[in-house]
Formats: sequence, structure tokens, C-alpha cells
Amino acid sequence: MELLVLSNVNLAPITRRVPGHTVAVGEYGDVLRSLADRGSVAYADGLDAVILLLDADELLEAGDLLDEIPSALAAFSAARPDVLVVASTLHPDPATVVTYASARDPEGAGSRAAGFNAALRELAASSANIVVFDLGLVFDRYGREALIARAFWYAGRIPYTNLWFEECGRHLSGLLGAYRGQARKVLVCDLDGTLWGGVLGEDGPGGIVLGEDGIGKCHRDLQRRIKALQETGVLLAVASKNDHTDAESVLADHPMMILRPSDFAAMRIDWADKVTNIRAIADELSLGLDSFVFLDDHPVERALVAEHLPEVAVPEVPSRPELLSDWFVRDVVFPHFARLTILDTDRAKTEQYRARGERVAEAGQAVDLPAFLARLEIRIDLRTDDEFLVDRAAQMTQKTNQFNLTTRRCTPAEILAWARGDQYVVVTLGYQDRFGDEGVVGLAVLDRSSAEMPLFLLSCRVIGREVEIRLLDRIEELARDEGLPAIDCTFIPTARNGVAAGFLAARGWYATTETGTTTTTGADEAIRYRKDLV
Amino acid sequence: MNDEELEARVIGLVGRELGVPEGSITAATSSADVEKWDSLGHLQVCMALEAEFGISPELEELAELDSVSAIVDYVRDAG
Repeated sequence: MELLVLSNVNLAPITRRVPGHTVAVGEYGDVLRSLADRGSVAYADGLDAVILLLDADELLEAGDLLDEIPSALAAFSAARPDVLVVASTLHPDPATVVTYASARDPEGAGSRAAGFNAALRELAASSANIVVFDLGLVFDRYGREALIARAFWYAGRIPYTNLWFEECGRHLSGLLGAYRGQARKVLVCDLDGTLWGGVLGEDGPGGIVLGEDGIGKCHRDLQRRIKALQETGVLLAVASKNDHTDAESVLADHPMMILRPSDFAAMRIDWADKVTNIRAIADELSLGLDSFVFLDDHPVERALVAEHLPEVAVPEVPSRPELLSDWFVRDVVFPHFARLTILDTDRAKTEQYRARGERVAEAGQAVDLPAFLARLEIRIDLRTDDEFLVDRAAQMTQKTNQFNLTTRRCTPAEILAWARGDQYVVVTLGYQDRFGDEGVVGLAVLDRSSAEMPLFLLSCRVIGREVEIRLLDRIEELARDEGLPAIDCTFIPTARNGVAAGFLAARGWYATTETGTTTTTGADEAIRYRKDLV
Repeated sequence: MNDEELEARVIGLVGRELGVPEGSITAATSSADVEKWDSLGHLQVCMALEAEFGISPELEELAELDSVSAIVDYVRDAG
């Protein structure tokens, strides 16, 4: 992405330190003018994000500037809905000349910074294109002694050491990755030495190390963190070399386990190698290996998986159990499962995958598809240009690979701009049946002016329920209401979306000219489809 | 670390921090020879000394570190 960093101090050294992005730095001290002046760099074409990184101590010295920034940000984000705004929180030095009195001073640095940070949170809650970056992630990890460099401040208004720039750049890169939906989806855990201490096959169920003291607590706390991660929507799986019955009984019955069998979307506990088992889990969940992270305390197992499944992320596990919890958050969750929002549908994800398993069982009993679908008691909810669903809609464009006709990835800001404007109509599909509420699972977009459907997708959770037909019918209906004689859509084949290949043809669309555009895989060519509406 | 190794590390550091092609910095280079060795480039070179050599120059010393040989001497004396 093309980034612009704005600050009240000299942050020029950050340009090389946000991996994967191109960074420009605005004139320092020019924050308010840059945000307000439509001739400034912040209004340049091609800019993807403005990053506001403010030095708290300098800003607090500058009087009223602090109070003017939130409204300037709100105005800028409204004027440039296509640009992401990342605003950092303030972390002033609590050591001032009023010493211990500062803690109770409502006009003190800490209080004023807290008020500013609260204003940022409110802004982010009401604007789809504003994100708050907690600079405490940098300051609290290393401390001011390691991050503040007075010589460079007085020589050139650079307040920080290289460590600050590197750590800040790394977090910005992670945050922007989360914005673009690059998080992984599945955490595969080993058991012995990872979820608990000791070796089940040697020590027996009563001999494994798991409890509320010492090393047992290290593993139990790791389980707590893993459980909390699962509640944000990450799927858990087990890949363990163990006797299946023994391991299952520990998972189900050991009094100190936090994670239980129902927390795992898939389990492979046997004597097969882990490469085979991780592949099997990926098949079972219908998810690509590039959305997997593998945790195993054993370096040989890690090396084997890393070598044979290079798409899988395999972080180094610390050999000291006391480091497991902090390491898990910093080196597993932040790099691989970073996110900007947690939606209600994320929290319910494991339940949805489990419900899917029950529906599959139901399908096994059903004599024919229509009867099965009738017994599901499906209710759908089609909504048009609903701004509350912008985050979920963007998330689906990022995550859906199978039933996705165009595989076009979008940011929340793009979808919001479509929903607000007259040119595009954004239609979402909500789904419920008697097994549960899947939330919003389908998305289609109609471009009225070019009579084109640039986006049509359905989450794999509801493939085979025929609800995609209702979504397409709605798009056709909207196009007819608009008086369009026909609509077009370009089906772009990928390695993953074969399931959607025949869909348009089955719904009365016909192939027109083949565009000749080759896909990224080079395997197939994009196909133009048209539906006549009159 | 002998002088040759030290010199090579300083040359590498200066080139990296200024973002100039390999080979454009030599033992004889001073700030006046390189366009990118301006005031900002100079600060970035000095800031990088901390990570590379564990040395944080004082404010009064910064201006003197304006050539590869001056930086080599400074790092050698500080070590």
C-alpha cells in the first residue's frame, strides 16, 4: 500500500521500516494543515492510508493542538472515504515536575492523553475508515529508556531510537495486513509438551503436567490464551501422535483442561505423520494450508511440517514453559491472527463449523436434496446497502475462495463507498436454519452504470443450500427495476473456485466473448457471461 | 575486531542507512561526497550505530562523525 505518515515530530526514518509498503513522510508539525488542505499530500491520488503518529510529550506542550486533532481527523476521513486513517494513541511520560501529584491532576499529561485516546476510540467506532493503533504496544514493551533518543531530538527533532522505528513499523505492517484480511484461520496444536507437559503415552493420564502450579500452570495458561483466540473466530485442531482413546479421554475428562473436544473443529490423533494429518484437517475443513499455523514443541516435527508444507506457518516454540503465554500472544497471534475488529459471527465460528457437521449428518439421512432443504427450515435475509454490514462484507471478500465468481478482494472503505453511492448496489444475504444462525454469508454487487456484476460470493458454510439462487435473483430483479436490458459478469477461474464454475450457466446466463485474460494460475481463462433481462 | 573488519562494517552501515548502491561508499568517503549524506542521512547513520555497535553518540559528537574514517576512529575509541 501507499502510506503517508503525518506527525508533530520528525519521523523520516520510518520510511524504510514498514515491510511490504511504500512510505512517504509529511513535513513534521504540519498535521492539521495536511488533514484540512485539499492541496496537501494527504489528498494525493493513489494514497491508500494516512498514518498519524503523534509524540505525546511534544503535543501536550503545544497547547490546544491536542483538542483540534480528533475533529480534523473526522473531517478528513469523511472527505477521503477511500483512504484508511490509522491514528495512534498518546503515551506521555508520566515523570513531570509535579512528580506524584500528576496522577491526581485532571489537567495532567496522563488525563489529557486519556481523553484524547477516548476521542479516538469514539471516532473509530463511528467511521469505517478510521483505525486506532495502540502505541502502548511499543512503549510498554521496551520502555522509554530504550525508545527515547535525546541527542537526535535536539540535533534533528527525531525523538526516538531505531528500536522504536523498527517496532512501530512492524506493528503498522501487521495492522495493515489485518486490514486487508490476511489473517490465518486455523491453529493446529500438538498435545504432549504443548497443551500439557509430559508425555501421555509414558506418564499416563494422571502423570501429565497440567494444573494451577508451576509448569502445569504454564501449559494451562497457554490453553487459556488459545481458548481466548478461538473465541475471536480462529478454528482449533489437534494433530498429535498418541493413542486416540487415551488422548480423547484426557481432552474430555482431565479436570485441569481448559480446552475440551467441543473447542476443536477437527482432530487427528493417531500414529500417522503430522504432514499427512495436517493435510487431512485442511481437507476436512475445506480450508487452504496457507490459512494454517502449527504449534509443536518438538523441533523435528516442526522441521518436517515446515519442509513439506511450506504454506503452513510454523513458529519456533520456546523451550522454557514459563515463556509460553507471552510468546503465544506476541509471536503467534500478532503475526498470524492479527485483526482490527471482532464480529459476533467470529465468536460463533466453531459452533457454526460443528453445526455444519450435524447438517452433513442430516444430509446423509435425507433421501433427496429438496426434502433435506425443506427440513432445514431455511430463512434468508436479503439487505441492500446496509452500512452496518460493511465490515462483514469486506471480510467475506477477503476470505471466500470457493464460491466466488470474481475473487475480488475489497476493503471496508471500498464497500462503504459503494453502499453510499448511487452507482453500486451492495446486496448481502443472511442465513438461518433450525440448526442455528450463520449470520451474513452471501454478497453480491451490481454496478448500475455499466450493467455489470463485479462481485458475487457465498461463504462455503452454506454451499449446497441453493440460497445463492435467491441472491442472484435479487441482483437480476434490481437490474430489471433499473431498466437494464442485460447484465454481465466475468467469471475468473482460480485454483479454488471450481464449485462455482457452472453456476451462471445453470441460471440462464450465456457465455459471450471470451476476454482472453489469463488468471494468476494461468490454468484457465476468464469467461464473460450475460443474462438478458428483456 | 580488527580495523579492516571495523571499516567494512562502517562502510556497510553507511551505505545501508543512506540507501546508496553498494560500492559507492569507501574508506575515503565523507559526507560532502554523497548527496544523500545530508542532515537527515547523517542522523540516520548515527542512530544506526547503537544497534550495530551498542554506541549512542552524544549530541556534541554528532557533527564530527561526518566521514567513514571519523566514524571508524570513534567506534574504535569507544570500544
